[in-house]
Amino acid sequence: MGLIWLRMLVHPLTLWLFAQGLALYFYLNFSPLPRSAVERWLTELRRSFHQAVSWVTAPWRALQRVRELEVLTAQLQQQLSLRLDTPLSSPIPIGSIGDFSAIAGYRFLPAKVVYRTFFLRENYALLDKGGREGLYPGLGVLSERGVIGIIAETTATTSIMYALFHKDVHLSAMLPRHNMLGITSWQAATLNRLNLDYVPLYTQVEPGEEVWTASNSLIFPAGLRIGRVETIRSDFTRGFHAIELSTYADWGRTWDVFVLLPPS
Amino acid sequence: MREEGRMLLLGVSLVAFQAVLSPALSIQNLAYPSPLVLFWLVLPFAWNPVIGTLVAIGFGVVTDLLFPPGGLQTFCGLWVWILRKSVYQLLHPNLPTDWELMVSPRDLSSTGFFAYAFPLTLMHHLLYIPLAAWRLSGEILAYAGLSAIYSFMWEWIIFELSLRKRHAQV
Repeated sequence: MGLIWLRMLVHPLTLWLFAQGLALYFYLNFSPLPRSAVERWLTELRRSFHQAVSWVTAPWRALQRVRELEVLTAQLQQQLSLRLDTPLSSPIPIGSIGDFSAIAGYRFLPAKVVYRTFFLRENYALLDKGGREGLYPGLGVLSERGVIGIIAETTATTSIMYALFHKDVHLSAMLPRHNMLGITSWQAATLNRLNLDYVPLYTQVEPGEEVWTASNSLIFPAGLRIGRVETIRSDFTRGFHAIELSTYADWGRTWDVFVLLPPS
Repeated sequence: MREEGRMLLLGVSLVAFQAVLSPALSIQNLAYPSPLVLFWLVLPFAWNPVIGTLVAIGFGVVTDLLFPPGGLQTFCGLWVWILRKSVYQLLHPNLPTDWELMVSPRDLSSTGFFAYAFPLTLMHHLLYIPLAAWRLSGEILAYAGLSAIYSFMWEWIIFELSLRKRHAQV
């Protein structure tokens, strides 16, 4: 066995390859021009390699980042709930809150929509939480994005929530940019659209402005997001704007809601 | 004179030529004579392959030590060394199986030597000069080609004067 290795080692081709490798090594390492070129190539090679590895591993790193952000979000929600002095056991629907200062002490009870109506003038939804969980008529309900309705009736285990898209539901609303009050109503057959009435003509309302709940509401605290101004029409006979809103809450796609429990 | 002594003398002469005469004989910016490659070309085919390879490497190492850049003479010379038998076979297609023991580069005629040595000299210079200059351009390639012709001219002179066997055909 050793003899075979020795024969392979002193084979002319092995010697030739060894000498070529050594000669090339000496030339590339001890001559200034090739050495700098080789160093440049190696740097470029290393850069390309790291770039390729980075490109390949990008989805995993992104996923890891998402996980980290999820944890961070949970921690922030936890801190936020502590700051508001509310014993929250569930996430706050942060997207629906425009002004955090007004909801101090409120609690958010998560509930699920069991079913809902779409084509009535008095649209409502059935929620899976009721009196046993502390719900009672007159409580406000939020989706993850904005105000969505009011608890109208409760049993021990379920509740009926009147939607914003119910002909008898009116909210006291405000335009936070002007601090101007108005009242919402729903008359159109189109879901996710509301009217904002009684905003005086002298208010310079712009499309895209936010509309929040107002402080004089008996149901909702101030600063919860309702929607954005879509169109403005001036009704000179009445002296008010006729404003149409698009609501943040999407009635057809909302399954998880939060019932707003006031401080006891 | 024994073959080994003749090759030793050739090696020493070529190194001396490269060291002393080449700078004087060079044509500035046009051609540089470097007939060192003749040593690898005329090493006898009949030598033991291991011995032959070691001698070829040894000559490369000596020239590398004397003529910078180090490593490049061995690198280019060994390509000549490994390809020379293939070129010889290409020029003489009907060789018997043990042809290496029967023929020598020194048996070549003047024309045969040209056909055998010039392509290898050209290859050597086309490898050596761009690598030594670390630049590849038309100018460098032209310089390498002209240097190959010039070097071959000196190789041919040396071959004719002192190496070619007298009985070989002209």
